[in-house]
Amino acid sequence: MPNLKSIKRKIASVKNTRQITKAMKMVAGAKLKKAQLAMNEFKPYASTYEKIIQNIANNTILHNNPLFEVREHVKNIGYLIISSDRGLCGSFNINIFKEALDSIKSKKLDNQNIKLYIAGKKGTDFLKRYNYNIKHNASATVKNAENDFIGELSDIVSKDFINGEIDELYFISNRYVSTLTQKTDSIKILPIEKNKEPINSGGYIIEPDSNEEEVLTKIFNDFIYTEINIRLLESNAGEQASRMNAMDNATRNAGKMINKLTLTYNKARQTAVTLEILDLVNGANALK
Amino acid sequence: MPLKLKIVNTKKILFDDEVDYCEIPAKCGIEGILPGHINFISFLKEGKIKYKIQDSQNEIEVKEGFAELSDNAISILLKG
Repeated sequence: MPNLKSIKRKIASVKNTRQITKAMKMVAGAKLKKAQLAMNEFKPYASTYEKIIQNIANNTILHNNPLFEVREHVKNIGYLIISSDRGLCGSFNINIFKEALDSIKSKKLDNQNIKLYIAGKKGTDFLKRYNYNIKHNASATVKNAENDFIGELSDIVSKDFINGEIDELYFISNRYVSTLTQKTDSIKILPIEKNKEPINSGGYIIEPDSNEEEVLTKIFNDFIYTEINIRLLESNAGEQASRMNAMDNATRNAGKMINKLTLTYNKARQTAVTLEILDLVNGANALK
Repeated sequence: MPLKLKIVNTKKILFDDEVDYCEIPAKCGIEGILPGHINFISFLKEGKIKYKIQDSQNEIEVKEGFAELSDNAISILLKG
């Protein structure tokens, strides 16, 4: 017969856990709203930017920019992996790691030729165990005032690409679909995809025309910055949503566990009471 | 041939519609755009974007950004 006291202690501890997960769910819910707002605000900017880059890519005239350069022998591949800084968010990070490892393996390159740029502490912790070349790691928390680390990250990746340190660059991140679903997405960012058949090769006038290269370089660098930024914002919203769901599940499971334990406790108590009565009755009978 | 104008900053879409005429404060001076303009990319400096729909004229203040025009569609991205 399980000890009455130990069951009681267990119930109390599960109740505590439930309280914590409930609180975490609330916090994640509040943060999710903020993150969603930030993401939705930035989305039109990012999608317009993507469209502009597509328009530019359709123009063969601009293909001599270094960021368009397709290299025949891909020796080094860069991955920008966006994970989260904190855990306890369900399968959020696991999905990212799985996608990253699968993608890296499919390239069949030496470990040292895989260069990783990681945003998020969890990603760094996990990928440290493998023998990849981690070039840069940053936090994944987008602060409202200072987005400086995004600038740093985008500078590093575009510089590494131009210098030939990496021949291709992929982004792996969770894209926000809805509160219940986040899609893990792996996309080739560099070299910028260009259309083989020029749809619109009328060319562009670029102003100020004295330093055409500089204008384009700034636009493309800003593009990478924007892409990183929108992905971080989406990942952030996804992380909060994922945590909210995970904590909701945990709270519900804790409730179920409490019910089960209470039932066991009551049964045990009942048994104890019955035994005691039996003892009493037997004792009384013996005296007759 | 209508001219499509889309102005976006990092917070929201400021304007997205067809216009008859548009004027932007490009780095090299104010540029007037009518339908059929050649494709261009240009940085913007501080000033005002003006656009006309029939007889009504509107303005939007600009600090920094760039504009891209292709196929009679102007996209203007503003910072901040």
